[in-house]
Amino acid sequence: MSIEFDAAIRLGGFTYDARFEARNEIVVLFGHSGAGKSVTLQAIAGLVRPERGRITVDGRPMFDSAAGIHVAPQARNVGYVVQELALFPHMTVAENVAFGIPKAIDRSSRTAELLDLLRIGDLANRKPSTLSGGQRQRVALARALARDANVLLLDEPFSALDDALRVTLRRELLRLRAELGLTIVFVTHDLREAHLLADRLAVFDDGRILQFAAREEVFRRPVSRRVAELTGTSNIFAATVIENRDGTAVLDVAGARFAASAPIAAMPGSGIDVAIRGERVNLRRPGEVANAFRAMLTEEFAFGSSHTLHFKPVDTGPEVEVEIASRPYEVLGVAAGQEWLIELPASDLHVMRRE
Amino acid sequence: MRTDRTALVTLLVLSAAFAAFFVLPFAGLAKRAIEDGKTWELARSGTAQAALWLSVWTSTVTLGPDDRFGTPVAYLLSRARFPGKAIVDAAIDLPIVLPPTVAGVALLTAFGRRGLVGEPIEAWTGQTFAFTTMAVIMAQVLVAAPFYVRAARSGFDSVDRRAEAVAYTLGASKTRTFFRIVLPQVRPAIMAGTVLCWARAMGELGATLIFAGNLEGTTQTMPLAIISAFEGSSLGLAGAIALSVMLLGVALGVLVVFRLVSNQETWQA
Amino acid sequence: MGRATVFFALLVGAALSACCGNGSDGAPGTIDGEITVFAASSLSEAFKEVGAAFEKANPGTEVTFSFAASSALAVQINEGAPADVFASADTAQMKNVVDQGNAEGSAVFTTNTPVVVVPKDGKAVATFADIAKPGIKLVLAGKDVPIGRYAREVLAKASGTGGVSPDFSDRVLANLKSEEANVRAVLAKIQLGEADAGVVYRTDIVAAAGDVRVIEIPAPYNVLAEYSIAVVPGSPNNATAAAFTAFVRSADGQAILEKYGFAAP
Repeated sequence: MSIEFDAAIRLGGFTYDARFEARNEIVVLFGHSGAGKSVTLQAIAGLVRPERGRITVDGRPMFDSAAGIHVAPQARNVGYVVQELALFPHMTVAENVAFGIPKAIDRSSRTAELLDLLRIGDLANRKPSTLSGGQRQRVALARALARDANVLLLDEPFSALDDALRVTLRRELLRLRAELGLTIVFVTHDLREAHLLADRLAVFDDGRILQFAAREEVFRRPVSRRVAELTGTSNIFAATVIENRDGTAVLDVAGARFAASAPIAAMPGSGIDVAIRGERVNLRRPGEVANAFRAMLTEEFAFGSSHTLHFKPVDTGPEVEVEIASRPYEVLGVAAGQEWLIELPASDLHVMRRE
Repeated sequence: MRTDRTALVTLLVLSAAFAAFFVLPFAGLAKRAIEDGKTWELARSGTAQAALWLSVWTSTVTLGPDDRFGTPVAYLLSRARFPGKAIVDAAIDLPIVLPPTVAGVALLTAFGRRGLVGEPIEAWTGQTFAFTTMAVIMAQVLVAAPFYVRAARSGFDSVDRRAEAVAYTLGASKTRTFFRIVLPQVRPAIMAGTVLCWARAMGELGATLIFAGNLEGTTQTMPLAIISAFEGSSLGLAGAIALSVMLLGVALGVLVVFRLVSNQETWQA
Repeated sequence: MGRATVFFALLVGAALSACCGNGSDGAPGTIDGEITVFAASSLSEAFKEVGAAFEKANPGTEVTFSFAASSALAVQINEGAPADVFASADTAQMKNVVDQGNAEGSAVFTTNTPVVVVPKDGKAVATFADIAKPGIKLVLAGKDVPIGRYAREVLAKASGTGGVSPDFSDRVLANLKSEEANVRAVLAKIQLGEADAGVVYRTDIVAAAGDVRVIEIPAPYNVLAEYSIAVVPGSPNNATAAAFTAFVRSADGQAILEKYGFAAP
């Protein structure tokens, strides 16, 4: 079960060029709307014909510009769930699901099987217009699986649902993947959804993939300031390299010195960008701590399960945003106007080449 | 509170005035038809029966070409993008806005004995269109087609294109997708367009009078029989009223039955 | 009163003043103001000139016309259409209106003769007898339109007289392709070449000169179309209406009619 994707597409004034792969996993295509995520799925499904490139599913070429191959969407056997689902409104749930089942297979038993798999057997004779959002979602998934596709393409499938339902359905999707061994390409612009579902993550921006890597790699080690921004890294600073030895660099950030893990070869004296996610920053009581600076709490926002705190340096060092879970927030007794030591752990302080 | 009442009263008064304007002419017609003892007899006269039958069957035949050719046109207009589409769009609506007499004259210039294609056709086959029932149908097809195409087109416009894309990925050919996914969703619009088209064909007068002529049994449809009666044919004014009431009854019957049927369908859906 | 109510009142007011406007009529007995003349289609050109001459001779008058088949006009007048004068192409439709009390003092004011017309380049019909040939496309006005009735009278008169076969009329009517609403519609079908032959008034040819050819109906079979004119009683402008009918029958009026091919009664 694999997809290898490499394609260039021209759409009006928009040029698209991207490559990634998926092997028995969930690959999340993440980015703003219009970044090229949906067109990627359309190219895999055969609904859009790229100008150049090669797309294979399970090793079988679906598109190959050099060899002149463009397999019709009907012959690709990929399950495709479009945004807002596009259920067939004039058909019952069972008819929707049965539509894609090949003639050779006993349609009624296969339909029943799929409805059971998605736990919607009791909705078989209902029309889509009478279903709730979550029920429709399950119908769309069952329909996409009708041809026994090993590859599932999902375009923002949960965007119209409320939070609680999304949680349930994401769990459902993970169950399906485990039960059926699916390879899933999942499009979303929701950071939390991307984080929850992705084995690997492709960050799209303006028709390009900026970074394609394992989820934690992308979140913790973004390749550029742009990726860091897109993946919600709140602290991105300009810094100067003072020295760089054995993968550890000493940096000057707003007048303060910090050690940082440096996967790139940055010459002393050169300018780089450095990022650290808000939840990786440590709050310490005043004392002797390495890689830390003194700062005052200026603003705080409560989000229920977590708090976002804004700190201003007392003398040197950058302005920092800190995310802290509610429990430690209470235990520490954080309150406005207090002075704290802000620790930026060297292993989490990530150095990026400046663009 | 007071303003609300004033608004409501105004709304009711205006609606009532408007409704009266629509109802009164038909009430007048009905009153005359009832008072005039000969209505039933006139409605059963040979002229009236021949005209009604001719109108009903030619209008029904009109649906054939309008549906068969109108549906692909509507589909193309909904889906295809091509230069000059706006002009084609507008041109199709022309028969709606132009007086039907213009359509009649236009038909003559194309299919008349001295028309663009009428002349060569007569030279090759000896066949002419004027004064034939064929001409009646041609006139009706031309003036009624836009009503069908418009309705069908808006039906196609309302179908979710992504549903078609999904059908392709589920292995359905373009043909199967069209007949199983697109057409069923467009069916109510097509039905409505068909009824509108039929009703317009039933009411067609100007183009028929000019292009087809006016002869009982061949080209004299209900509207022609009515205008002839009004202009002094032997049926007279009483005949014009009797025929009008007949036409009104048939048209109303068809429209009501259609409403009932389509409401039931919506309810089932 | 809300703004919408005011609007509605204005709307009703406007409608009332529009439908019942009647401002320009002269005082009774004086010859001025506006009159409406309902006249047979065949009178179209001649009466427009007569009207202009009348207006010139009687400053302050204004004549408007409504031209249609006399039969249609008769129905409209009997239904209460606001006509001041009715000029019919025959005496039968005039009688229709007089009998209902909707016209008075009718008099024949001019005559016309039916002729056969064929398209200028039409070869199918060369003589009067040819209109009975099978396959000819013939158009006539409806049987209750004066010219339609005259045409049928001609056919009936011809059948069985002077060597013409008794079924002549039947054979001609078998060629009938359309019964037009008025004489001008018959003429149009011939001008367009759609039909091979039709029967119209001699006077109509003036309007279609160049497009059609005339085939005379032999005098023994022909009929004389007698046009009559009358005032519609209850006309608010009776004096002017009467003056107009008098003008039509005067030497000046007759001279104009003659110019268009009409003959004195």
